[in-house]
Amino acid sequence: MRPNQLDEINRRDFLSRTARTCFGLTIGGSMAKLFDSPAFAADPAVVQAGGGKAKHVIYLYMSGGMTHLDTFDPKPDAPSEYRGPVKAISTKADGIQLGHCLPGLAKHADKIALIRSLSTTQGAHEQGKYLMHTGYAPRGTVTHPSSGSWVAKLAGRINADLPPFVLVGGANRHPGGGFFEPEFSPLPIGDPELGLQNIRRRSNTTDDSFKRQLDLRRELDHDFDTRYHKGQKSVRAYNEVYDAAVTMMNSKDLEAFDLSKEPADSRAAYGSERFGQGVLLARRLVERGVRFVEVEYGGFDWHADNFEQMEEKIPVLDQALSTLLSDLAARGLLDSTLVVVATEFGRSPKITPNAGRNHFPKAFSCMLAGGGVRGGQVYGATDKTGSNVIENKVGAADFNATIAFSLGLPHDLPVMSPAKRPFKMGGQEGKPITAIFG
Amino acid sequence: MFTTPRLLALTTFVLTPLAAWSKPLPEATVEQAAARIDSLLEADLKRAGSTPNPRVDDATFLRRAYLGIVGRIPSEAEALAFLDDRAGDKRSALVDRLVASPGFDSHLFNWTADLLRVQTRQEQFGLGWHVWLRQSLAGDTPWDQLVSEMLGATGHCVTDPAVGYYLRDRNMQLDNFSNSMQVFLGRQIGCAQCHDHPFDTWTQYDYYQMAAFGGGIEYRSKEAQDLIRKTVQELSSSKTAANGPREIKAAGKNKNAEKKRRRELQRANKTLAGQFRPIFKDFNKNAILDDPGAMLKLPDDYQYRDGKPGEIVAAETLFGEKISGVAPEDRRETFAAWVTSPDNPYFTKVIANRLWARTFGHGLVDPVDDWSEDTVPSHPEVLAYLDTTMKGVGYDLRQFLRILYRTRLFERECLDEEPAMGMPLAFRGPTLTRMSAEQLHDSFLVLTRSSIDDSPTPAFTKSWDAYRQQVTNLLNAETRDLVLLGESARQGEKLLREAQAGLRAAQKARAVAGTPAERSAAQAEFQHAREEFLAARKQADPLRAMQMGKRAGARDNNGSLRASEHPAPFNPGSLVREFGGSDRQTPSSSDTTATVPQALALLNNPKTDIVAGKKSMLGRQLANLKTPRERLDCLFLTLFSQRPDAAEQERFLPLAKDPTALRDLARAMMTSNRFLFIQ
Repeated sequence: MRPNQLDEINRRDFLSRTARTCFGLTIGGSMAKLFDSPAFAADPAVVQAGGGKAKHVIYLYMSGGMTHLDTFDPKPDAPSEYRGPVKAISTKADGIQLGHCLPGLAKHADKIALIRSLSTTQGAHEQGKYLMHTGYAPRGTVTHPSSGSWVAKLAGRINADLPPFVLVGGANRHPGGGFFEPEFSPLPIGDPELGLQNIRRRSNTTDDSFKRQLDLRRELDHDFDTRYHKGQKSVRAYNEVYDAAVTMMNSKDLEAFDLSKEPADSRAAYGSERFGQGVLLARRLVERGVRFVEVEYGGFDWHADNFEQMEEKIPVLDQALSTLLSDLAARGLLDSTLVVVATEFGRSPKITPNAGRNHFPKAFSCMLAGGGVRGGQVYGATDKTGSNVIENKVGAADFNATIAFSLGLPHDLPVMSPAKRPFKMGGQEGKPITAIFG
Repeated sequence: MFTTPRLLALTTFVLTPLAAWSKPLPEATVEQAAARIDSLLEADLKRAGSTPNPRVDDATFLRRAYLGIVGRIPSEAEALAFLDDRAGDKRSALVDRLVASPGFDSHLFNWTADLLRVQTRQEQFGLGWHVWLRQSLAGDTPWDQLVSEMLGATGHCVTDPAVGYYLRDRNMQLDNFSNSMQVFLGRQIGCAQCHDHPFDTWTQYDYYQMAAFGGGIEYRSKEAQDLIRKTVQELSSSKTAANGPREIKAAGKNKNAEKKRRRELQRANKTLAGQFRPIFKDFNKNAILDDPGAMLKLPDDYQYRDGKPGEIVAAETLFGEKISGVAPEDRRETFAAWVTSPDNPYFTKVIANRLWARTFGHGLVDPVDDWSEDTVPSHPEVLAYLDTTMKGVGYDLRQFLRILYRTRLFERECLDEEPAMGMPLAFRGPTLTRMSAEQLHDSFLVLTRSSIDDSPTPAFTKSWDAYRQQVTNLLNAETRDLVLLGESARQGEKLLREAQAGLRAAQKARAVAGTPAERSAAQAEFQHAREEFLAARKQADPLRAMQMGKRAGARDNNGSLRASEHPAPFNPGSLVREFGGSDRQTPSSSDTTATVPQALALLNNPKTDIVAGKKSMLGRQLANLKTPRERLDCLFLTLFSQRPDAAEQERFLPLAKDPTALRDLARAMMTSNRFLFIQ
């Protein structure tokens, strides 16, 4: 299943050098689709079923539990104690409505599939986040890898100089690479505006000095590593991140991390908030061959003043997401990039006396677009008040299996943990939602 | 090997002397308690046919003690003082000195604030809670009292800063309750908030019974409410007086007219009260009150047979001492007393085990926050003894930790292999740990400044006192001043509403803009509207305008403040956050996972360049030293807290002759695992 990655990299090198010398061009942008041959061969059965089109994932995570009734699953006919002041707006896709804070996305509804039937039993943030990211409920004896690390491990790299999984604006306690070896852990970017900091050698350091410093580091650690390298994953991890850091310093694709290289109007189009800039960063990274970029947007936990917060927060998502969809489409990258909007749970349909909504894992919504997903559709449904799933229930493991399916990855391939227990990208029993593809 | 159940006999043996302890503990008592822990551990090892790890050398102990107890590496002078000390009891003397120093307070504060998720800049209460916690720990407030003060806190944060514990999760009482159970009692019952617990015996109904102890909490200020009422009464009675007694008398003749007049008066008072409310907007974000009439109800989607949606649930404890039928006004005090009681089956063991894991890298019960009825610790006798010890020292964390640091275990070589998650560990030695982000931050201070002052700066306390003064002034303001303030607050609100409408319109325009030109125009318009909105929001609040705002605390202009002296959490992208410093979102969210940006920060960030530049103390010091030997010693002592051994001297002395090579060596040491890990 693993193809020859070197060929892909050599081809990339050759093309970018030729482009530069012959045409004065930098590879990137629409040229990026030249590189769209996969680093792994999708499972023929999956391709037959309409999967395996995606090469990349941009995973937008709404942390805190995004309200489903006010966004992806509006209920204009529900009593006002459920509906609140939210209006449902029609969209470019017939019969699909969205909450009124998503007018931008409404224009791209022909590109998206709304999953309105998510349902889990994890109603606390930490556990819910963990479940959505890994497909497993948290246990005290193992940390499961998150979907980005699964993709990094199963799909491999496209660009050998860049990490396969980048996490933008992630909160602490992200499950990250879980029990996988360190190379599959995400590269965290705290602030997209700052990008990848400290990537250039200090101005007072020569190349020779830098090399000597690296050699001396190894030498100084010789005894330490002899003793601990084998038994301590954290020690191995530090040796690996130093190697990876030096590789990245020499990468020709570092400008992928540098938003100042992006034209001003494109930066503005994604919105000035940190989240919007993170989404833009995700597009730049995916263009240059990063497999999986997760961008986290925090602050959706609206136990009070739900509708005020919604008016402030959802437009930020709307702008970044709708810009991303049109940008990817314009660059010819939408078919090869799966765009995901996920969250840990929805919000209780009945509005509380504080005008808030509480945690509600029983029924909530996520969104998928691109990567072979058929646009303009809704999968699953909730009842009149958004309180119960009445059609096509989807669990967190199913959702992750669907991401695997889109990439043509085996969602049910067991990978052994260090304690020799088998775990799968699609969780214990996840089944991909194949009906939304093709 | 881990489950020998003869603990009772053993614990009663030492219970009596412990109960009579006074602070600080007498030397003999500390020795006795530490020795007891060691003998229990070593007996277990012997039974398993294993042996404890050998004792570490002085240099390793020195570094471990400084980082573990005061949260930073020792300076060169501190290292020399210890290494060259010939006294036989120098290790215990060092432990005792460090435990009693302000560095201990700073380090313990970081740990506790991470556990409790203190965010310094949350409204105004965050700062108050931060200051309160810092002072309580420094002042040795016993843990049971500290927790009880938080769980029982009520009112405005200026009178009871511990109320920050509840305000931290404003309007999220159930989440706050789940966290309390996990943080203080090690019980994870959060799942039962929505459904019966999948693999514990907790039902959703149980959860609500326990949570019902907090059912009377409301997130508003009684202080503001009372003052508004008082002011309105004053204004309206003076108005009535001005109208003259005759009118009232005349109205009194007709019952209907009287009723009408009352209704009008009520309406007028309500309007009047509404005019003052904007002044106290911030009060409601910084205070809670207990309403004896408010009861917790089952959720609307409750689906089990033992209750109906919307039904009131009576507060009842489900383990430990059974408590039910509590008077509504006593609910929280009862709960606080129940949680922190020495008879609570978890409270004492959980904190003892947390501190054990903090000291040795792995819990006797691991993970430390997932206990159940049938939890079996790896060393039941040790845990039982720690439980007795914690009670014996009266929940004094400093004295408890002092005992742990004085064990032979704390002097043993660390384990070659990392312990398996959630598996029992034999404790042949402590675990190898990566420095926490705060330990790294504070160690940088040692590297960049020759001496380090561990004592806290007064900046936070000053800002907090100033805020308290302002709130007090407001609460005691004259009625006419309140009228004026109310006026300005209302104007501010109006401006805010307008700005909000403008922002929404701009957002909408931006979303539907078609061409790039339209888009960028719409974006500019939006940007403008947003600035106006933010400015209006700032102004809308007279209290916020008149007090110090959220930028409280010391300014770290010259980079000399310890991590504990910064507002928490640090910003994303900062060195502390890059190294996994807590985001203060979930209990104990500090993280030590390796990442590429960390390596890049140590390799390339000018701020981590400890030997170059005019500001570098180490660079200047090295330049002043005459011989290569002195320079090499200085580097090794400063970074590794030890002199180079013979092989290292031979290998590295040539480098110490050339300034560039020496600088490269120093930088390499900075990036080494030997530096970053605590053995």
